[in-house]
Amino acid sequence: MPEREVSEEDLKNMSPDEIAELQKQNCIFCKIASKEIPAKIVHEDADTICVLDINPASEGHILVYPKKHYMIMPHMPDEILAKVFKNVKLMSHTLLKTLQCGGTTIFIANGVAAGQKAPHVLIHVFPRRENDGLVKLPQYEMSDEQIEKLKKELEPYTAQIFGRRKKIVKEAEFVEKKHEKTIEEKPEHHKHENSESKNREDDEKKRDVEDKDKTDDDKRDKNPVKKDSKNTKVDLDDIARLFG
Amino acid sequence: MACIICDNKFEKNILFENDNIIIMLAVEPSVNGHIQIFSKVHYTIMEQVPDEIISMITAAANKVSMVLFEILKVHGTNVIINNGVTAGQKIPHFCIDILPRRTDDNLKLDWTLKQAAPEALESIHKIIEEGMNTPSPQIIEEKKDIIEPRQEVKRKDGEDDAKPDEYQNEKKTNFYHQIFEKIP
Repeated sequence: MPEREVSEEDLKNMSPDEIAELQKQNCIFCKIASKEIPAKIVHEDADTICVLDINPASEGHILVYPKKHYMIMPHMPDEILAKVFKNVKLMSHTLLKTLQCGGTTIFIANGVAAGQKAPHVLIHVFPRRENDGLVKLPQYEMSDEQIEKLKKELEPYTAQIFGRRKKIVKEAEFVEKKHEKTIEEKPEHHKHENSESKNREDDEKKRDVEDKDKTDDDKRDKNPVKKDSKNTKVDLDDIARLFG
Repeated sequence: MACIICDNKFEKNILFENDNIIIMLAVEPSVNGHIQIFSKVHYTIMEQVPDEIISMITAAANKVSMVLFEILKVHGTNVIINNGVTAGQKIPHFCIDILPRRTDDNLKLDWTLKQAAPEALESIHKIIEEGMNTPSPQIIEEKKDIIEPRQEVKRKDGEDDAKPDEYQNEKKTNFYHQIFEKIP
């Protein structure tokens, strides 16, 4: 359906899902991924694509994004996220190597308030040079009480999602041992998810199941995980739909 | 190595930690609710971090974004990695910054859109594509290692005539050296 045939009135009558579908159809970045629109493709694999940005923040600005249409980063399932960031790392590495810049910045905006301009999640990777004035983070003074208050506010929720905090091990003890362990364990977990999950809903159910398995060790609360994913879903869509 | 994260100087800020990641309120916040996710093992820049750790950190970043949406009722989040001191990296320990954003917060992090000339894009595309096809130097762990392995390569190269081009490339692309030197 070409864009011009949809009038503003039609848009008002459409359900959010229909609008999302329309955005998907008219998404420039999906069209670049499917080669309908030409672009300078730097690297490509089955799920992700890396192209040069035509509105670069600095020379060599690359966009890395999933070929499938996701609006914001939290919509992306973990296995796609892992693939995207593998390429982000590769692109950052290539920029450092080829352009001899002093560093790179990886920038993601979720939502219009954060400066997102296209309804497709984009990971910006661009080279940085001295005094280029890009992405300047301001200083925000926080008193100890404010930190304490914020921590109290957030900690229950992070505990629900991630589990309880582990006790700190001293630097010398963890540096070598623990790192090796995690590499052995995690890839299997990912493969398992990869092979079985085909769409997001399945994915979420499985994650819930997996989470339940983990709760056996009494460290996690069972109910909050489920509740949370439902609540945040609504919020996420609100943020994504600001484009409409 | 003296690192404020490894030395655990900001324990009061920590929200969660496990064997792989540390989620904490930002050491030097830019906005209220600024959160940083660190790798537990010390890495200075992203190129050193194994893919598994990056995927754990980014997955956590997604969840943290959702917490911020839900709890602080923010309208959006920025996820930023400053890789290298030139890029504004303040702590010599790899981290992802998550900034909650509101429509009225007057923060300007994005850049003005300015279309690049097609020729400029063409030339940079060529450079990057060539770069993708040339071998990369090994990623250096610490400052000491920067000089020593390079000398070894030199010696090998004198004997082996088959790789002069590669060596020249490597000599030019000691870009990690440049980055590490700047880290405080």
